Amino acid sequence: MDVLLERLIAGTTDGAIYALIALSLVVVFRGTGTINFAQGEIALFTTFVAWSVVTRGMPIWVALLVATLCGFVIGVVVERVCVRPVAKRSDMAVLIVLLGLFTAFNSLDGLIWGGDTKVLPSLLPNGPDDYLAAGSARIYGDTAAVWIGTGVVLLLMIILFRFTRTGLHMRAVANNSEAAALAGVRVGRVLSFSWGLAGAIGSAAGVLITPLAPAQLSLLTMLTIFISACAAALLGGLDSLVGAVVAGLAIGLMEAFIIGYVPGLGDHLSETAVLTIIVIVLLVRPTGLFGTKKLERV
Amino acid sequence: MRTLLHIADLCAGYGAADVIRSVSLDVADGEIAVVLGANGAGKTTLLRAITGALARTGTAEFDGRPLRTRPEDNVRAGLSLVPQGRGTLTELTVAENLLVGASARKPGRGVDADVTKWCEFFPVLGERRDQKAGSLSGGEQQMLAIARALMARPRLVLLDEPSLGLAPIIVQRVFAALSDINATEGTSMLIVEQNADLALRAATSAYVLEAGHVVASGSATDFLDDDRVRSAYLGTDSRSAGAPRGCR
Repeated sequence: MDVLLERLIAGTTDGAIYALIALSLVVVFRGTGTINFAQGEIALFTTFVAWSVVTRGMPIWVALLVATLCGFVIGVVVERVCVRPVAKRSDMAVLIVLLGLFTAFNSLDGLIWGGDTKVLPSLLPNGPDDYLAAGSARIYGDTAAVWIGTGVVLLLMIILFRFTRTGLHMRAVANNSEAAALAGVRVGRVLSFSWGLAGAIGSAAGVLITPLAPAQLSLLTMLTIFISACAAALLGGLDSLVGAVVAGLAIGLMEAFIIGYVPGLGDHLSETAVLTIIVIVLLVRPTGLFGTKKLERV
Repeated sequence: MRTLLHIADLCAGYGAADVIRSVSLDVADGEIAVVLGANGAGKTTLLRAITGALARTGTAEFDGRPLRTRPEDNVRAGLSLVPQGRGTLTELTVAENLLVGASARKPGRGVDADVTKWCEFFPVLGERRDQKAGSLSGGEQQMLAIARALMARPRLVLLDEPSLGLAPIIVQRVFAALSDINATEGTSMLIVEQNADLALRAATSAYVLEAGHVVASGSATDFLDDDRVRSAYLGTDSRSAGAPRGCR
């Protein structure tokens, strides 16, 4: 099989998931101004929930819906109960709370579902013969599910932000939350909804990628994925929705090509490259590729 | 006339120190009232305390009911603020800014009609409807901020130094627009200003704020005519309109 084509497909698939999780980070950052370090683990928790639903004999589509809904509720609760009360004090307090939640969710997963690896079925038929031929490469059901799922989420996001009142209010709060409140926007509700939305997007991403993840469904599934998604959010500029998608795809492709074209070391080198990107962005261009520079009149 | 805004013994500040102490003032339904004061007198603090952006003690009643503690709730009660420095949503278009101003209202034809109405009242906003608010000039942003506040159909608009940083000719236009809106819509206004002359001409009643206290109050015409008041409290003459003030 053509390596280039095969890597292109793998890179776009991973990149799509990075884009989704980066998007969920950006949605929260635009509202609250914090990076939700617990995002990956919230997504893992709801992916485990999806697994539980599937093992009870429900179709994976239902499980996806349940996980997404669950992610929304967890997002809202985390914002309202864990983040908002400490946000008044300091950003550092929020950071510590989120890091705490990161460990808490992972431990909770272990407590409920145990440490052994589980298999989550793909959303589309994924047998050896269920593929579309693209030139010399084959696109299997699990890959197609990621692409279609990501496309649907992005479309819904565009509709939300461009054409709905809630989206307008979210953009207003992201732009200047005090001015938005003075104009009558219920900022608290917008923040809760943003965290809920982020939780839902992350959960959808988790269910979509798990069938393809090297770790399958285990306590480690989200770790490397989340680091790459963080790099994508940073590279994209943290407050740019478009940036998150573009950078997510870019990082997915970069990893795929390093793995494909660096013999032997590729796997490890791709992780190194992601971390290097994080460092470089923070050092050289903290606003990323698409982020807005904050110019404040004092 | 009926009292719309009733403030008595209001105190507020940052941290332990009160910036405004025991301020009392009333705004009658339909009138324009003005609070004059120099830099640091507590004008912005006063308005922030009224809207709830800042914690306050004392009495603050709007139309006979206690004001709420969150700005977004007070907007729903009919009280809007045009903040100092205008507070336009720079990344949003002019039309979107106006729509955000109607957040407290039911969406629909009424809101769309109001967007059109204010775009016609301020033609410059109509011309720049789909431009980002950040690309507007200072005067245009001030008009946008006023129009956005009016989108909530408020009964009382608080304006925090609408003349700040604007050229004299633009300041005159802004005040002409405010008087016009007050006359045609019946919207009451409480304007805090350093630009005493123009503000007094637009207003019916006036207060002077000094170091957090109301040190004088009366009808705006009396203030304009009384040279002693002007020299004692305002330290201005008629040429000061729009003159550069400080380094902001």
